[in-house]
Amino acid sequence: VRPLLRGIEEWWLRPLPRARAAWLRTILYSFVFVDVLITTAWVARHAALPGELYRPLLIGRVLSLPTPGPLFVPTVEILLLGCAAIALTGRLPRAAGAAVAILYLQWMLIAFSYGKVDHDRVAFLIALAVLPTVGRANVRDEVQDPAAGWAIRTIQVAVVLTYLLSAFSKFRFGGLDWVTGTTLVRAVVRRGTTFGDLVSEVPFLLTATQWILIGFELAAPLLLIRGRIGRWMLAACLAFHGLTFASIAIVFLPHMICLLSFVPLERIAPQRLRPALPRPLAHHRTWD
Amino acid sequence: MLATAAVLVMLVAGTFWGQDDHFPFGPFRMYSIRNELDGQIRGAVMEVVDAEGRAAAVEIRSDEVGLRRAEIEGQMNRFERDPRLLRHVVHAYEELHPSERVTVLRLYYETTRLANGRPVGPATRTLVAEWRRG
Repeated sequence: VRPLLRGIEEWWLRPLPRARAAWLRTILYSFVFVDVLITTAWVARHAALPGELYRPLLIGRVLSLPTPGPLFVPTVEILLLGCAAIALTGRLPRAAGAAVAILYLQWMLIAFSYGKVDHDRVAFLIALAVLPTVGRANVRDEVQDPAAGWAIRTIQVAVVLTYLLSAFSKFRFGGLDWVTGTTLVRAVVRRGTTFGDLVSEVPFLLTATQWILIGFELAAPLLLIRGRIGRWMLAACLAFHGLTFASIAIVFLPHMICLLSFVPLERIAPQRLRPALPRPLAHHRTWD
Repeated sequence: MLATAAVLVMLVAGTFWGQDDHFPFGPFRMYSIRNELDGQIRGAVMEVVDAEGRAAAVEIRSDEVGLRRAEIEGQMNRFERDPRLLRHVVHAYEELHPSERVTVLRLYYETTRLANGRPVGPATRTLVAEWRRG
């Protein structure tokens, strides 16, 4: 057991360039604005609802968090966006980053305490929690750092687990014969698009899709393999999310943003960012 | 590493023993319920009647009634037990549509039957809860 644990630890802490952590921060903290103001703008509308419809989740009850209302919701929103703005500048990476992580969790509790919990945010929450631990980093920083390696790999593992554990949830709630049911028919009937309706006209196609879906979710750990297999799996993820959006108009944006942790973001145009300096590591392949 | 391991254990435990209530460590249960080949598909539907007695369907979306359809469905049994709770939905609807005044709001379940995995026949409606301006 001990060599196995040591192997895992070595893998998890293998250094990655700080630049990738810096890019991820830039993208995630920018996305907080998109998420709060545009793509899940419905969260803020919970401010107008009375406490009677508030069904606090376990942590909300344990920590006796305030009931969302017309004062609390905008306060959290402003603090969250303010801290995200500071974190975006790269100043106070740990303090501002930690504040964003905590406030975003509170924002999610406001979102999900009215009868429905969404399941596309765990990787994003974990990413917000671990990125501050890298400390100071910027997009030109090619230093290979075990702290960056740990944070980025933790996000990757969270993404993989989201897919993998979804498959096990289907077995748990739907049974081992989930694949032969009509869950996707239900999804299309309830919220289908024109494309989804077309697809559901073809008999057995949705059942076949359910088989492919489970196979895809169980294969998610392949994302962690470096090289061609990992890249193919990443492409499969994009195809999966594209098809999901086309057929039932659901897009797991916060989760998809976390897929970027598999992309060698540190290679984004370093020549354009610092034209005068030599770039010894620019062609160093660090795709993992 | 210890903290990492703890979070991992909680995510895995949440998948097998947790509930949505344990967010963020609950199970990833999106679309995990199995639907039977000859089963049925239910969805909440809402209707409002204005001061002139005209009934109109309302799409249950956050920008129409303040709550998402899945949230209304998540609290459906509460509305059924205590239809007066719908006054909050009416309130949110009127806030979002300042020119309208609701006299009646009805919440239905719309059911589509499946035969061998395909939807058949017209959908049927059953009233779950009704609110009237008193």
